[in-house]
Amino acid sequence: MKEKAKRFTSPIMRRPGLAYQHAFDWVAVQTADHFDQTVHMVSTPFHAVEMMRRHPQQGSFQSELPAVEEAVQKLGGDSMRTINDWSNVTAVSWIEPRRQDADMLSKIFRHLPPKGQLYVVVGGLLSRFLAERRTHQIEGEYWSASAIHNAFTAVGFQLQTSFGLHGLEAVAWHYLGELCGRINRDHWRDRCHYGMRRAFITSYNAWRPAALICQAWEKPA
Amino acid sequence: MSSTRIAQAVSNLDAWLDTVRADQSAPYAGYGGPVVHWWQNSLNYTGASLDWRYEGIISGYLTVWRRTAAEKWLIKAVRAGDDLVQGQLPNGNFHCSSFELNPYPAGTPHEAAADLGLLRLALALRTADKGAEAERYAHTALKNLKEHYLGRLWDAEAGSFRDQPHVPAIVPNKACTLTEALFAAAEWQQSSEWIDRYALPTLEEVLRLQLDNPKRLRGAIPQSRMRGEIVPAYFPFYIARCVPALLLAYRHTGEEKWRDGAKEALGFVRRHLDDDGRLPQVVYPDGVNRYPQWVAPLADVLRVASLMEDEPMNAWQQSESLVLAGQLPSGGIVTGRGFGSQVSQRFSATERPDFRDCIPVAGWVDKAFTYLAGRLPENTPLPSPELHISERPCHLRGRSAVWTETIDCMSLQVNGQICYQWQKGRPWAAVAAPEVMWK
Repeated sequence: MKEKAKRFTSPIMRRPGLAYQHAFDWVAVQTADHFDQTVHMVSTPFHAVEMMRRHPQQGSFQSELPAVEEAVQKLGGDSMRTINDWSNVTAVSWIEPRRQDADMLSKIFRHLPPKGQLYVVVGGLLSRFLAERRTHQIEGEYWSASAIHNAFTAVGFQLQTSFGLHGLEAVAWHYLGELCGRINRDHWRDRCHYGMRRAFITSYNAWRPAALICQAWEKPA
Repeated sequence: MSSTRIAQAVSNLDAWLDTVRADQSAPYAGYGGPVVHWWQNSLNYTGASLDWRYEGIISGYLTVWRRTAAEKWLIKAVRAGDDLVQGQLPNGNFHCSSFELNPYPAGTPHEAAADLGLLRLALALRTADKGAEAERYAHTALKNLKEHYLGRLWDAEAGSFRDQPHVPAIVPNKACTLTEALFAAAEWQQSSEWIDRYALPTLEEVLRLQLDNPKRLRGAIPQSRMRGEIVPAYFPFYIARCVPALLLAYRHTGEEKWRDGAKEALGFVRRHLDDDGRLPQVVYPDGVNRYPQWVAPLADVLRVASLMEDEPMNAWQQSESLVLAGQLPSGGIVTGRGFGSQVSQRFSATERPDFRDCIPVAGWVDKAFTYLAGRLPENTPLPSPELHISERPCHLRGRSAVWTETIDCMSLQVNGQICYQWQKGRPWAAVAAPEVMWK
């Protein structure tokens, strides 16, 4: 296990922005106690690298994309688990699902045991402002939050938790801080920065847009 | 403060540090736990963090070993050194060395501080005729210094170290921690090459940034200069951390300017002590952000003050009392007060504190540990530790809550419901409700 972890050799870490840090950490916490029973479905090498960094001792990743497979193998992760191998899988994390992977949903539902968990990170209405969206472009198209909600509900999953990251209040604090900086009130700017962080996690609904949305879904017993 | 009180405090800190070690089933062994800080918090990642805590932990255990002459303390210093040796990545960086920004390697000044701890350990072992054992610790530190700092962060044109390879910037307190490590490396290598080539030019740059005026800011050193622009934020804590490197330069060269710079810097810090012995968090040209005010980290400032020969230590007595008063029944020392006041900058000591005001953090407690270890009397064994459950009423975003710490767990409850829980030794929090996800 330690050998795998030691293969992270990138000299300087380009840390993701705050929204992605929160999202990846949230998935890591949810799956920490059963990481070896979790399959991570990812849409870019960036997702795979960040999840492997959080659980360097293990990692089962699923993606149809060669670039993701290459990134996972380069970092010493387990070879990509085929989606047929569902023995012992009790949870799935799905980071920014692509619309063309929608057919995976029914398979996940079928194979997860009762009470099995599906953790999803999906872009919200403000996701276009995420720098990572420009840096790590996906092959295909992101599945929208509203379409995911409809599809997951239709297949039978039940929503347990849902919250947004970097909503309008946080954006407002940010711009207020910028304004303070422009009039040379650096102490106010710092206070606004912490106002932004305090407001960073927001309850999510259609009227409260956010950059990223984290959701926990459960297969009914 | 009585030596009995200090000895009991050190014993309890040692026992507490043992409780927050990540176990062997985690990817890496080492001291873990949640982190709260001015810049950011790391409440989710709680695994071993190979950062500046190792400077204080290793130095503290070496001091306790010297003061008590009991071998078991050297063994603990060696165990901490082993954490770093085993946690070094092939490129010289350390696993999860970014403290409040974890889980990422290449943390600054954290890796340099860890190097400093390793080199102090190596030097102590060599002095104790354990040179063969010492090699591996020195080798680990030198590999990090060569590959990461000299190889990637040295800016030959500017004659100083950058904070990131691609951004022309200097962060004085980080550069000073690094130069302390370079001085220790020079002692190990018995060559002043790195001092002359890297450390002194970097410190020249730090001195150039030090302010003479306005009077209110005399002696202050700005947080950074980025792309040629000074960031006008003056952190007393970070300015204090510049002082040891300046004193090393004075001892090496005998030039007064280094000692004068150190005195001015510490003078700025001392002038900002309030009547209770607390420091503001940040001073700006046009204002102050007072909160959060440090408690455990204040011990690092005390350590620095004690290095200055003619420093009036009676000015710091209140601060020492604050550090000791911050020790919890569970053994750790709280990080600070007023984390919930970062936006309003209004604080009431009579109201329930923000839950982050209750959290002891290994990367802050180490600073109290090493300072208090230095206050132990010679040849007196430490008393047995006395750890108890710690329960503190607090609030979570305005809701009444209780922070509880036992030997094996830290948790936060609101209305009987657990919102946050860390099983000590585990790399991630077991529970972190969205309202506690606060970076």
